[in-house]
Amino acid sequence: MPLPASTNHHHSDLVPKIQMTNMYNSRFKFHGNDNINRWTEYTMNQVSLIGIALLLVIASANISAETERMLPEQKIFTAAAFGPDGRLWRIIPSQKYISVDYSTDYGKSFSQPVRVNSTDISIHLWDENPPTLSVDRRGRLYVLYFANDKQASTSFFSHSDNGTQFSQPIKISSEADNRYHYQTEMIIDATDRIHFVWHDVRDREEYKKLGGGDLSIYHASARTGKAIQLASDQRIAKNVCSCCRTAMAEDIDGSLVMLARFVYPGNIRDHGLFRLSSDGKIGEPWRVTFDDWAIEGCPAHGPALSISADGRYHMAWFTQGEKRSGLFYAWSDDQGRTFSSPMPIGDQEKLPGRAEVLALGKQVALAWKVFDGMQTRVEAMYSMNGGLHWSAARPIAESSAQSAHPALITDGKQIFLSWNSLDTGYRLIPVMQLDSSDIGSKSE
Amino acid sequence: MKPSRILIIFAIILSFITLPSHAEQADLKYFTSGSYQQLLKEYADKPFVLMVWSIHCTTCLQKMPLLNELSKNMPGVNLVMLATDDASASDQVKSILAENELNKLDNWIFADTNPQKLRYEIDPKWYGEVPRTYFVDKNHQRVGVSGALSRETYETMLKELFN
Repeated sequence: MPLPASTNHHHSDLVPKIQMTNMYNSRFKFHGNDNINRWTEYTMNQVSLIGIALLLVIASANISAETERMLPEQKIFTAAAFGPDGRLWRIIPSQKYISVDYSTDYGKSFSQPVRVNSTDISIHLWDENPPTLSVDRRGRLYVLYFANDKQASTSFFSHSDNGTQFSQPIKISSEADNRYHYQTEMIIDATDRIHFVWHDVRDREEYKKLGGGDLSIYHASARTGKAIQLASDQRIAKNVCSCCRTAMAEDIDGSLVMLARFVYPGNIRDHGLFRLSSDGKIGEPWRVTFDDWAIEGCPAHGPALSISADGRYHMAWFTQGEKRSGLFYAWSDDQGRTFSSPMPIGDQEKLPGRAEVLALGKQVALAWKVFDGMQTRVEAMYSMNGGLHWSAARPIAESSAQSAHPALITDGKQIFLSWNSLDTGYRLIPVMQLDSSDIGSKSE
Repeated sequence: MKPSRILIIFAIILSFITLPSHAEQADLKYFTSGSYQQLLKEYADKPFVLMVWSIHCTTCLQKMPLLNELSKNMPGVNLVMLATDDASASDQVKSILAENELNKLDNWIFADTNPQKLRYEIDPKWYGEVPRTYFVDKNHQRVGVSGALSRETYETMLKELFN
């Protein structure tokens, strides 16, 4: 359902004002009804004024404490990407704006942050709706984020030639003011076009009659440059599960490939692939996971996809299906028509989830989260031969506080885990170990 | 002027400051570490249904009219609702609950910096999918089900629990 922005204000801004108005009204009302002499009134006014001043101090202290408690941590959703010059760029969300900084020493130190949105707006991110940063081959930056506007968590993007100054925020959906939309993903293709795909509720009425998932995936794109003018958006998929992020990767033929959790007959929430060719042709989706997870609800657990330079598709996904349950990886050499038999990932006793996959030539890395009741760990494993053989899984980072989903990024030489948690802060950790003697398990 | 009168003034002023926020707390309680155990204490020797939902879960929202109907038709049923959205979404959660006349129930919202820990405290086998419904009997033996349930399932389970 569309979530009206009016219900979505950060109430702490509003509540204190209302309370204070009440307080003043009550004071005057009380005086009007009371029959007291002038001297007493004067003293009483003095006393009440001091009292009110004191109470205001107490109340404002409470209000600021309340504000801090009420607003979620947005900085947790830090995202990063390498530029062509090897700089590590990072977006740092706060409650009211997004900033960007960079590191020239692989995350040991960072530059002064630069603000992306000059006007404050309520930033609204969550773990299945994180912001994204892309850097193109010319070093230009593109920042995608979500903020409460006329609709909750409206998608915005800004771009910059060199990271010193950003364009005004641009709303991505043509229905941004009227229709709830979220989980937007961004990619810059090899021909320097910027693409956005997102989940949109605008066709919900149509799906009500037909049944099935009631979300659509929409797409908009533009040529990158000084000014970016998005072409009109279009629906590229129907009947998508409402709460799982869609994964996107560029194939070696220039088409975009989307891996989404669809709703199949019987409320089966398995995955399908579909293509958007470079000439704009939208392909029909086909089903690629057959786990038969029947759930009329939200798994809130999207898949991951990476396509290596040799055209191999690598995917990772989560399921609790009748036929298969857990976290899995598989690869395809025929553009996703058929996949290798699913390889289980992670220790089933520790709730493995949120798998990310990234291929760099023949290197492939997988990273996922586990939780033992106290500690969240990111575990990782890697392959040096395109996913055929894998290293043993090992923990590479841990946290005992809130943490973002793990992300894998590359500078073109190696693969890193990019991860943020409230207690340890942002970390960039190489996934590969130099010692590859533990490579053993097989996926074919 | 008598000190007692000043006290009364302060009491009135104070009440205007504190009352609204107290009323708010009553509508939607913060679910933090330890809250699940607190729930078990509150419902000691009593059966209850814990209905876990989210504002981003379309199915959860679609099932709210049914929950409203059930809670009205079966007033003896202890229905506890828990939104897994962050406390910052309190206003959205409250308005959805009010729209569906579910605001008088025992309502909670996740309010801890680590939601994973909260989920684990409720159920170490739960991955976070919603809606998730726990039918907890008076001995606090429970059944957890993911996904929306039909009216028939609810009615059968509730009759079994509360009879």
